Amino acid sequence: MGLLDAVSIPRRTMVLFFLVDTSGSMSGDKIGAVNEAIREVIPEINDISSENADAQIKIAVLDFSSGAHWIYDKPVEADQFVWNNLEVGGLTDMGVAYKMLNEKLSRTEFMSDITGSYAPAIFMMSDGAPTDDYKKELEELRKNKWFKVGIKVAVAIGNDANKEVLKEFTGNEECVLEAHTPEALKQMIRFASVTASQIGSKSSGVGIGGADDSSTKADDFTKQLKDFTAENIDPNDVQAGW
Amino acid sequence: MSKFKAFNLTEIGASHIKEAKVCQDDSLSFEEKGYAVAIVCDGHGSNKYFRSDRGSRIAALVTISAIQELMKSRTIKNEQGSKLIDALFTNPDKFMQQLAANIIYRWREQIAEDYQHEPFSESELALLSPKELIASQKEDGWVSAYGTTLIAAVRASNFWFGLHIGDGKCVTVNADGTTAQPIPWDEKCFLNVTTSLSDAQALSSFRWVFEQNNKSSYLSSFQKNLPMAIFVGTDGVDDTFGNDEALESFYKTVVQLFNEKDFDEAKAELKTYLPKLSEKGSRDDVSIAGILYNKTVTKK
Amino acid sequence: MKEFKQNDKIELKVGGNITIKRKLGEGGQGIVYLVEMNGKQYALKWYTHVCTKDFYDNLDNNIKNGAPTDSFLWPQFLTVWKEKRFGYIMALRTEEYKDFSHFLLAKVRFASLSAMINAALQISNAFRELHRKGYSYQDLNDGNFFIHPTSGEVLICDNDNVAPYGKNLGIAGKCRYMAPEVVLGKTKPNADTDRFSLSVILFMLLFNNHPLEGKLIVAVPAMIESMERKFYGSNPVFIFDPKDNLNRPVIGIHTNAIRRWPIFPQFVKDAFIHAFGSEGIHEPQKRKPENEWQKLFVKLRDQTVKCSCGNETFINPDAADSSCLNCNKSLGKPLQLSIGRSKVILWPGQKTYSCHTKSASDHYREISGEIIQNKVNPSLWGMRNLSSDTWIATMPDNTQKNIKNNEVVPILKGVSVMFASGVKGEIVE
Repeated sequence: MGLLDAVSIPRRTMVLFFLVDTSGSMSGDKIGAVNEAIREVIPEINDISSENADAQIKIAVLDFSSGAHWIYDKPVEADQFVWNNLEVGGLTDMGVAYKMLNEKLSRTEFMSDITGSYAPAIFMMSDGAPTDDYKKELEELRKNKWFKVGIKVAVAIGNDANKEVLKEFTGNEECVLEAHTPEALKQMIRFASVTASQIGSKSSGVGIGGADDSSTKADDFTKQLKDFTAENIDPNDVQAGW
Repeated sequence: MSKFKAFNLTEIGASHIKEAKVCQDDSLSFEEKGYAVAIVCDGHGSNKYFRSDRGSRIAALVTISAIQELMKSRTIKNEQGSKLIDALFTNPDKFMQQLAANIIYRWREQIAEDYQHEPFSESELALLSPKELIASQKEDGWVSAYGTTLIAAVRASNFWFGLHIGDGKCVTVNADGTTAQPIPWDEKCFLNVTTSLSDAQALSSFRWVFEQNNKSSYLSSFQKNLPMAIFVGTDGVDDTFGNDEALESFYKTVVQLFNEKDFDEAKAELKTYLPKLSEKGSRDDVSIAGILYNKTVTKK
Repeated sequence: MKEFKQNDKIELKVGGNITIKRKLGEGGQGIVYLVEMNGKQYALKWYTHVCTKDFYDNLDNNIKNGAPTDSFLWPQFLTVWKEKRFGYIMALRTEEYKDFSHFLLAKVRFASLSAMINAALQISNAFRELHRKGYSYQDLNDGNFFIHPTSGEVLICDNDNVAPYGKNLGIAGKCRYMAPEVVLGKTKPNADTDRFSLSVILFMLLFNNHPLEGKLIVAVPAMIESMERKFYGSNPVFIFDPKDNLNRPVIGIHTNAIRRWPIFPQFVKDAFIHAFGSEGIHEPQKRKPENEWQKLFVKLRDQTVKCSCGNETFINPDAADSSCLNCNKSLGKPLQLSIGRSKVILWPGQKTYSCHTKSASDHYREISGEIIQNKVNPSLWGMRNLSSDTWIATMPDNTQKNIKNNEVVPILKGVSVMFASGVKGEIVE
């Protein structure tokens, strides 16, 4: 019709980050489960994304072992994302991973597409045994405003995973999930990604003043995650709330 | 007839409709012979701000009264014969701070009346977490339920000012087509976090801009250095566009719309557009208020 | 008005030249430049408007007499009077000192209560010395003070409007700092009006809020002159006036005052209630003299201790228990040194000063003693003599000890110490 309809409204973008521990201790079925889970969940994320012409989810993956590196140099749309199995070997430079994440969580880097109110969702998959001085980098990362408001989930892989380290990342224990079987891992990642993308689009809650006052999207997410069980979650129940 | 025309529009957000939530935005506009006013307010969205729709309505109303009173007194003379307006030009910060303080004062008085008249109901309190419930019972703890943001712009012939607390944006469009966001930004407002009229230190969170006509300018009816159009919008609008360039470009299109069409027609078209903007974009309540030159006056 | 450029030279009245390096800042009256003279750097204040010869001569006079105290950033040299324009050079102010207005806007905070008290002491003392020298300030306002947020050290600037009593340079000052009688035009600024301004500044230092600005002030969207004359001149109402609650502070606007008023001891509150009550407002001669403010802050400092949580708090010497303002920990009722009219709380880190221990001294900065913890037995505290006098301590069993410089008096109930002739203190509960 008119002038205004010609105005282009950018697609709402939300970025999902996967930080994957590919150190030696993750070998065997641990990395096998992660590879399969992510490979299987990407099409589902793609579904959410494509069901809404106005919204899209982009994915960024950082794998860390001895050093860390981004699989792609920019977040990639779910439908374009190709998952190549990650290989394992080496140490666990969690500090380096935190540092690199901190660098990219900025408007001039991976957050450049973000329309006003979508906080990133960050998934860490690890058995939690860092071998470098990660605390310093984590402290710096915690000051990053995108990190602060972001949804953070850690999936503890394996029976001997160090949950304390992962708790430091998420800031609370409700967001540290345990996966003991490959199937459980897949369910978890799927539920968490789908819920996070849903929450990400909700109309702005407000946090004012100190941390105690804020009811942020991360809190909403945590509440939902608390109710989560390892039962099969029918993806159709979780409506694309965009 | 006023030199300026003002409009205001508020439309409920697509997500609010879906969740059967009330619209928490409000807006007002006003024009009279010498000046015009545009105001938008955005009540906070999370569950615990369950009276923010009232808070935003009250904020808009008290702001317009305060501004009207201020503008009425601008010709009052002091003992030496100089008018208040001259003092305003010499020391705008003092006046902006006074206006902001007065708005906070009036707002708090009115919400206190509302609260006394109608304390929180069971169903309202049920929306709070246990921790929030305890906080709401403390002396000043009930105030945040009414929390809202506020942006007000006033345009007179030889000055304009904008006053702002919280998120949302004020965009000006100049006669030469350039755009700006002249009110300083507050870094504390980020993503879904915002400062609020309900804050304990609200006065120190207010920002403003005051610009007066450059006396050395020889142009009379088109004061070249004051904006041609001023828009204030809640974050439902700027969240849709995501960046300043896209937002400012949008407002330039709005100016074009008002240039090409009759004022009321343009306003109606913008009104129809807003729900689409919310649907495709932020999904949040959207409000826009604006001040433009009155074409029928300046078209000579 | 043309501004100076780098390397411009300006002649000084005493001879010689200064060289402009760059502009540092600008204010209502003048522009400040960084200049160099004989290899040293100074600040040059250059007036942007035409000045009277009277003004020039007054400054010249002030320069000759020197600054009342080190806190004053005093003019050192005048430039030559040329075409009714001139400037003066003074010492440079380092960046750590922040504008008082930044404290008021909460852009800067004091690192501790001691820093704040120190600033209050210095400001009170500075004005006392100023008035003792026969000057009156006339233009006290928040732009005059620069304060170091960690130490509380104060630098007082813009001393151009200091003039001997009775001589007025025609400055009216900012309304908010003006005494009511000046607001109403009944008198020109003088030492009594300075004292009112001082009490306003001290109140703002402690409470981050103006004493007369509460509900009444914010009930209007614009302050017109007739209202200013009323609220600051004819009918001022103290925001904490015990009898009149019309002008109470409003939360959201005056939150600092609301939060801070309760934490201070009653004697501090009483001083402000008097300063802004009917005597302080209407009877200029009854205003608290500066040395009384100085004594008040020394007393407050005597009651300030550092809690184990790292923050400072006040101990009430008459209460059975005091709790930390920050962590709420109970601090009990520590022993005190009762000396003259003072009651110094004995707590590790606490200090005594010459005003306590020397006879006829009001030296509030010179440390004479310090309370320390015994390194072997931390529950045993002592008072180390940091002065040059030898003290004589009398134990509860009446034995006497000489305590020379650097030696320690054990802190026990019943110990008394002769600090100097006629100055005796006793450790009491």
